[in-house]
Amino acid sequence: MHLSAVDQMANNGNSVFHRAGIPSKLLMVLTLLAGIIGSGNVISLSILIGFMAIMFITARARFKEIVHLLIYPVVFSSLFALFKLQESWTAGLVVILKGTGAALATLFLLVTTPWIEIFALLSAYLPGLLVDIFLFTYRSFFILIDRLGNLLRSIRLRGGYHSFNLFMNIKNMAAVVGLLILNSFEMSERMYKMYMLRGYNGGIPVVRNWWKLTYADGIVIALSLLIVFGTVIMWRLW
Amino acid sequence: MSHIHISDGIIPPIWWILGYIICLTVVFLIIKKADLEKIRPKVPAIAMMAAVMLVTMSVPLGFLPFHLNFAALAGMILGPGLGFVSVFVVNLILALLGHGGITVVGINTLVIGIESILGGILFKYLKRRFGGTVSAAISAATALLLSTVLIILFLSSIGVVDIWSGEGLLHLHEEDGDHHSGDSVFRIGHVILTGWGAVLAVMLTGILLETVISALIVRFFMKVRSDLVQGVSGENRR
Repeated sequence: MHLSAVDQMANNGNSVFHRAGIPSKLLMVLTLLAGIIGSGNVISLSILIGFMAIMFITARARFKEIVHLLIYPVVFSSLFALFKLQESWTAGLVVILKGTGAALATLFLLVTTPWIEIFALLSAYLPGLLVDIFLFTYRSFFILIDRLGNLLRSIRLRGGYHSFNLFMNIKNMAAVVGLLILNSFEMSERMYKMYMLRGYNGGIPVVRNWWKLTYADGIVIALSLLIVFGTVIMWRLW
Repeated sequence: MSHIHISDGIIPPIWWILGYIICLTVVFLIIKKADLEKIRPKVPAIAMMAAVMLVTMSVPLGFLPFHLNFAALAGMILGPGLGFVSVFVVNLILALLGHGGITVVGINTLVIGIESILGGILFKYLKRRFGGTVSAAISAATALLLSTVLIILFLSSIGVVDIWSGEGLLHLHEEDGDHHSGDSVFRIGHVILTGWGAVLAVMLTGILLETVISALIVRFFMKVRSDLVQGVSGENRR
């Protein structure tokens, strides 16, 4: 899932996109999404994807992980594209480009913005309880993925995993997931007690300092406008 | 199991907007109706379950091209309402990573959330009569079957898949050759299934797999910590 790689890119990047505030980046991603979802044209979709590829290069994102994450939308949109191929090959291609483009847009937000800032933005609109669940989930994921890795490694070392022995795999995977859930619940109980000791009373405080507009925000807003105008002009051309 | 890997741009806007509205309304109602004092200690547990759902999607099951959701299991452990909330959190995080479109988060949550709600409610009522393991199996199988039927009916009613051929339903390879062009194809060794045969083979295998693993996990909990599965008492252990 590369959540840790995405997290690393977002926290350690120093591009103009990393320096921009989340509201301006969100505006850009929303314009990109609107342009992609609203478009039904191969050329305009290709231009938008090309535009995003340049943005990824500017943000110095790690291509290996991005390409790997893109496999899901490409494969699954391809399956629906096959259904559309009966109409025309361009209709099929549009489905794939839309799926890939939208995934690229959301990934761009993630590789240039730490999750904590996204949660801070969400906390302005969503109930505090829900934002807390997001924050705890995010924190727990990294702990659990390490534990799962260790559990799977120990099962493989002890001969508990065979690619073609489904029954053994099911039995052992159930034990792994059971143990993982058990550990995670015991950990969550400890975590709650620690948070209580530190004064948790519902709602983890998150800092928002978006009102300061920097030149990086200016660039991102200008790019958003460029996307809007470009998309509208392309709609009128084709 | 019936997680929708539909990319953005496939489902018409009216449906995904409606999906978002209903999903967010349900989430807000669950949170609003919940007793905050009682629910607050459960926040880490809900988040842990969400993280477990995210993590288990990386658990390999050998040659079978599945990942498990454990939404029904989340309903059994957290209760129907909180299970639904954890499903929403998982879907939003996955969509941001390109695993399923960002526009289909609402519909995805409703479909998988139904597994959680039905799984939780059925388990609550059946456990007194049949004990933990059998109830878990019945609840998971019913919830998965219902959500699968609902998603097939929904996708076919909006024209995304062809209910008569099963085309567009599988997340597997489409192949040219002897079978009809565009039919869904599922290959197990030398056996090749097409159309509805392929759809049913894949879906029933998926449902069976998740049901068995969910039941085994509940059985494991019964032995080590029965209080985790909605306070099942020791006398119901099997």
